Amino acid sequence: MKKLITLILGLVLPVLILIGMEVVARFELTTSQLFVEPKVIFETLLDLIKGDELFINLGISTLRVFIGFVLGGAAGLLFGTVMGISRTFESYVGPIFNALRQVPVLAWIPLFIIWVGIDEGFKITFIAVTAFFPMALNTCEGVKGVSKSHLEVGAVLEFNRFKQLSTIIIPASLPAIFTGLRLVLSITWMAVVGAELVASSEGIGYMMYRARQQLQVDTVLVCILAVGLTGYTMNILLEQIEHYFLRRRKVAE
Amino acid sequence: MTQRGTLDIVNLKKTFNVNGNTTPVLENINLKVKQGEFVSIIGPSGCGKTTLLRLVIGLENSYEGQILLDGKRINGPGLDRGVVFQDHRLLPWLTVERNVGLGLEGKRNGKVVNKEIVQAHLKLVGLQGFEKVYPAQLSGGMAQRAAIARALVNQPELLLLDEPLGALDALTRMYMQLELEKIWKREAQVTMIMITHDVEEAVYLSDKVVIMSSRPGTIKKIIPVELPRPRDRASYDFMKLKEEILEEFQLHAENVFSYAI
Amino acid sequence: MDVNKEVLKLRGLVVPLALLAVWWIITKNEWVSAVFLPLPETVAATFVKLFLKGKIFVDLNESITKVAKGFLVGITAGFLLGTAMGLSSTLEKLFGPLFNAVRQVPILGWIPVLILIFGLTELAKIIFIALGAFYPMTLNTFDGCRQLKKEYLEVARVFEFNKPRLLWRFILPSALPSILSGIRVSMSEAWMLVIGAEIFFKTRGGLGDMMWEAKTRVQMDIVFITILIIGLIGFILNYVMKILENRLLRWRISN
Repeated sequence: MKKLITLILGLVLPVLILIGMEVVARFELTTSQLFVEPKVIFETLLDLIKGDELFINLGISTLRVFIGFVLGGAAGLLFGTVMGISRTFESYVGPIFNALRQVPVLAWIPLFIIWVGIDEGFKITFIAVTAFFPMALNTCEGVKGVSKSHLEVGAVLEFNRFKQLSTIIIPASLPAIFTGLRLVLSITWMAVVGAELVASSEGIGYMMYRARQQLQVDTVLVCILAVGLTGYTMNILLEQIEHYFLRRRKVAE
Repeated sequence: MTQRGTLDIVNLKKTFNVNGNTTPVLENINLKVKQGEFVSIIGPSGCGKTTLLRLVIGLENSYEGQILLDGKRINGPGLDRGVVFQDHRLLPWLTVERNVGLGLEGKRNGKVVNKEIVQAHLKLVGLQGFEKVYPAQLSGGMAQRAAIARALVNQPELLLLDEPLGALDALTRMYMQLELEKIWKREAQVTMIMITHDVEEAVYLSDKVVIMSSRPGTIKKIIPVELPRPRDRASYDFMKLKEEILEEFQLHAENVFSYAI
Repeated sequence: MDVNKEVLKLRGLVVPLALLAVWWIITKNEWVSAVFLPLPETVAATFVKLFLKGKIFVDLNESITKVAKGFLVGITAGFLLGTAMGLSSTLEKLFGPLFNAVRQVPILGWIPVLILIFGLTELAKIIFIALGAFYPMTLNTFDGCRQLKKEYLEVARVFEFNKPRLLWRFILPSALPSILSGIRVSMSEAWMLVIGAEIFFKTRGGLGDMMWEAKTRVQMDIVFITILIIGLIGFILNYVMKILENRLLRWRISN
């Protein structure tokens, strides 16, 4: 009963918006060709689901996100771990890392375009760089945050460096690493859309860009829906993985 | 006509609903506290003493029987009762001064009068000079003093203390017991009811020690403490009384009573 | 371990100086075309020239005005929605699902929609920036409003506090740390998006446009300089917010 009320309350606004659009359409309150009826959006949605175009473009974007995510994420993980463990390393590269981190990611686009061109390499580089910074930062903070007393346990047991890393440091910083991964996932999705809006001939961002130029509002909206849904699904997947890895800890807390 | 600051608990019963089962927490509680009396309630964990106090504070509301303050039934919290919690519960974002003055905010005394009242109470608990300090900067004992001042600022008839010294280390605790006694003497008309785990603390401070037993919580015995003040912890009478109270627990409880802190 | 702070600071300069040296060697020997990597001194000269000419201040002003507007609109809306959802579970149930659904869309995805509806106008850009600032602000305010512990609520009840005073004395102060970090995150988000807006909406004016123009004309020196300036301003904004946070949250620091 309570859940039902929650569900209904959550649907109130979306339904109101749809009704509002329908009313505008029925009574022809606007002459703007930009305005589309809910029905049309729905039809476009069905059309696009039936065809390949949406899925191909979505697939291309997902692949780009994936590659950039893996490359940038792995680099960030490695860099962040080393920076977290070694104060010497941190003292050398920390300042420049922090300085570069201040640059808003979108500001790198022109530089990368000049250096790498506008092909696949550019998109992957850009996505990987956006993934790198938050991943490195979160990992580094996670590793630094490992409690001293846990490290002392390792020291008392005369663990070597590798053992210290694999049995204490990495597991202890896992929650922070996952936080980083989730952050990276949402940032890389933004990055892929950005990269494709700027320079691409395929991918979901490009599809939106083209639809916009042809004033196909319905297609743009469906694309938005698709991007949102894909990002959301991947986020849930990641959460499941996190849940699996940290399953024994939640109870202990 | 009942006197200000008299508490009358008559045939009090309180039950909790846990997963559809009704569990009695307090049963057949009868207690009279006179104006200006210091009463301690002591008992094993889970005997419902905290629930009893929360009922008197008014934070728990549904109960059977009567809880009367000056002959009037208690229904919800009120400024006629001051409360000191175990965890001082000072607001971390307010200075000591403003924390102590919290209860005066609704009153139209004017700033100057309020300030004077706050000052007087800071002096009472020995915190002059700490007006502008934030709670995070206070030691446990000092924070608890501020909490006591905050509770007294409205001149309550009843001061309710829920294990006020429970979180302090042993030495600070003894020192604070002296302070608490001093405050009680100076605020002679204020009735004080204190929950505690500490038998010595109860004997040292109280006019009356209420011993509770658990499941359901009932009053097992009320022991008057008629030793002259200031009390000597090492005296024979003091020790004897302490023994007597401890004895109550050992006789009653099947398993060994533990001081849960 | 017993390396002192001065040495640590000096070490931080090693990598940047090495990079500068490598850069200089590469460009001096023309191993890479000057188009892709200009001489360090060229960049420095352009930097001075830009500031002397003064046009950069016009662009700077343009970007900052835009970001200020979008940021203010975004955090105000975020604060209101966050507080509303934090205080009332009915409102949370009403707005929460829609808010969370909309939030799933990468912010840049709204650009085509905004352009379609509002055209390439100032308004479209400000809405875009505001939207970016709105999300983190709403989330943080919402979280913050739920920070107040049950124990403190009891204190409020003991003192018979009414709703407005409960809000003012208890809920908002306990939400303040969260709200302030919301403002900080929103600010850096807004700063990134103003650059994005100037790039993606392809309109004149602002640091983003200056950068994009430079890219189109392959003026690498200007691209470098704009990145530097944009990064620097982002850093300053963040730094100022941090100082503000420390001042307003003095009560958290114990001895």
